[in-house]
Amino acid sequence: MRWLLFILISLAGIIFQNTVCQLLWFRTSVGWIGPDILVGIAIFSALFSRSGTDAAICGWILGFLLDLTITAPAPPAGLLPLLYAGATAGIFQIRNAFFKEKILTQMILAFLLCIAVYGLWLSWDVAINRMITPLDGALQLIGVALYCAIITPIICAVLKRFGKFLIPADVLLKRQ
Amino acid sequence: MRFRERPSRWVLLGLCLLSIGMMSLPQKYLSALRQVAQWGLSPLASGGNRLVVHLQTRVDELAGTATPSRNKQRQALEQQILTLRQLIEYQRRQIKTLTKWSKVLKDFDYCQLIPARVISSGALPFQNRRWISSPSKKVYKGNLVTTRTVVLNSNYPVREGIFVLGQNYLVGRIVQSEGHLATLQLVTDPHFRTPALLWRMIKPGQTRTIYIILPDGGLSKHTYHHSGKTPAAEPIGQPCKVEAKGDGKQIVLKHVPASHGIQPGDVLTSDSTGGLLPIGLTIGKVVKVQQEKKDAHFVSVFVKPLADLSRLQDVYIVVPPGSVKE
Repeated sequence: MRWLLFILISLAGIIFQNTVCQLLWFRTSVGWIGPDILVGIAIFSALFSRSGTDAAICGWILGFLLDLTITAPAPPAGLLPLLYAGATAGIFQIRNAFFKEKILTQMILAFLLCIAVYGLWLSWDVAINRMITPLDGALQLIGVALYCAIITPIICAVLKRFGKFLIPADVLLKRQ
Repeated sequence: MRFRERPSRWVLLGLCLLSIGMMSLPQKYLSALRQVAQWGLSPLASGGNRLVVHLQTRVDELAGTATPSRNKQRQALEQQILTLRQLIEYQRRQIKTLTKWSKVLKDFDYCQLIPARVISSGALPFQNRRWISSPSKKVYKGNLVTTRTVVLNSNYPVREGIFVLGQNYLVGRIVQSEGHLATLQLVTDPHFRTPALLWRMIKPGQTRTIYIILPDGGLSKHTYHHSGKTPAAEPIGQPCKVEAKGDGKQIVLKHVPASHGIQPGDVLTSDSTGGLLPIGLTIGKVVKVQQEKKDAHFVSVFVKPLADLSRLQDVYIVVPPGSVKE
């Protein structure tokens, strides 16, 4: 993994998430539903990185960037990077069971990653009684996860264009 | 040893330890870390916001009537005129709103109104917050807010806890401010708490009976009729003191005595006794009254904010006298 480029892409992702992505949000009775671009990047790194450690570091960077841009009060900083790292490492471990080029695979994995990461993240809020309406939170989470699942194949397709710059060519070819 | 063969594992281990360390750090250090990061990302985010505005303008153009092809110079001039018109319209709207608010707040001497603009939401949709950028502590009525040029100044323009007005209603308060960025906590935020007043209203042609609690604890029955002087609803009796709490979607008032006879349509205003606001400013309207399960003598009142918080754009920070940090 070429880390500098990955960090730049992640930075672009988080800025995109904070600005242009707001156009894609819509309001529902349970709250705002919007996509998380970084989930797509995490899925890409989990599916195509050289090793599980690389995937976990990628996840950690994404989680850390997201954590820094969340408006307080939120669960303690540091939780999201750990969850992202764990989830991307987990997906790396199971990726051989899937056809990673398939759109459906990417969608399912994005959905699962989103549910796992934000499910645990929001559980923290529920555990300390900060979230008053956990059911609404859960429905909102499912909405966000579905939205992420829809948008992830597009992000993976875009990132694959940069694949040879992000991941050394021999690794990428071997994986393909 | 496997760790020796793969140095990236050491890196990962270090990062995990760093995460755990961050989780155990006091909240104030983490807030400072987040503020520094957000301060650094703000200039980049303004570029993104510019792109959003550009995209929205394009979509508006496409949605409008199809224009025949013209030469580029004319199109550019028309674009300039359109931009200027929008600018004038924006300034006019802002002046109108500021004038209106300054009339409303006329008894609150030397209070400042700082115009601000909502520039962004949080990175995740799970928090019901909006980022706003306030231009300067030396902003005067009618000044146009340009958020992008002042983001880098690092003064503290406002202090936390002061209230923020929308076009017509109270919309929230400042919970964090750093330089020219501040976080606006909306009235519907689950952490929003403020003392408020609940006014019982009477519509034209309506008669309403309410019970007023006497100093000796007894109840006195009063029947009110609308005066008919105005077509608007009128407040009757003394307002009920309540604590307004957000629940993520609307405002909830718990443990309101059922004897107050609150009904849908009654109005919630801010309480001026805190000193941060001179008068009661309208927050929302009662939409539902529910008897509490634990005690039938109390009701929970659900209030819908009158401001459209999802489309909040221009806001005004009410800075009480002596609150501006020089």
